[in-house]
Amino acid sequence: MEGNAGGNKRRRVYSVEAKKVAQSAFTRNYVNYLIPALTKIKNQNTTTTSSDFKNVKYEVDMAMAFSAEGFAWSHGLKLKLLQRDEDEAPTITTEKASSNPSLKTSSDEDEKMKSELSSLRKLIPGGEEIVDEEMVTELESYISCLEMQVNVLQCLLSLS
Amino acid sequence: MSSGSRSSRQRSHSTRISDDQIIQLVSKLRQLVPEIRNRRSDKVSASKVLQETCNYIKNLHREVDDLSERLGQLLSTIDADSAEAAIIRSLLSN
Repeated sequence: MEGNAGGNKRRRVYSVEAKKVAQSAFTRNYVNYLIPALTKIKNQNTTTTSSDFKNVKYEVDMAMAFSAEGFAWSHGLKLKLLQRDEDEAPTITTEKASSNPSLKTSSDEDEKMKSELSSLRKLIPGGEEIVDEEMVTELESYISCLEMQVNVLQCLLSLS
Repeated sequence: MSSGSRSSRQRSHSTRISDDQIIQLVSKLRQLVPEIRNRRSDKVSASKVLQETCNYIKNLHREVDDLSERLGQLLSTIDADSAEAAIIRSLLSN
């Protein structure tokens, strides 16, 4: 099921079949995390609205990470958030060389593909860690969870 | 969380991704990204698919940011207790 080993960063191979994130499970987990977190923010709110946004965004991201356990991106997202919590820094994106000059593939199309792929990787939290074989499941779950997240947030906003 | 062996098998982005994987990835992305899915054309090149995917993800990120901001503003204007109760009630009744 969830391939979440205890903090071990060796290559985890996820089976493809069990990886569809059920919408109901995601939504329920998401709301269960976010609502109490927002209430907490509301109750401790003595500060300006700008830090409110940061706090809300943090919880929004955390809710996302917790609602879809077992993916490299959700793990990566948690790490990023926890690090941000510690050093108050904005999201950390490591600068990696996107194209390896020693690979002479001698094709423009190939080069373009590589650079597109690397841009895509950068958009996924923890993307630098994702091996090619996992890219498909990771992208699929990440995109569908992002969509679900948007739906949930729109829902919450429309209710008030 | 141990981050010790993080760099030991970093072969993913410095070696060439295999053609098979690209094909698989691109075909999956065709289904996932609405822009491409709705076009119903097989003529979209692989790199265009990747590009559209990047755009789509960026758009989703922006939308989440925007919604979070509105949510934050909302927090300061409503009574949390009644809002929470209302939200939970509505969601549970669906």
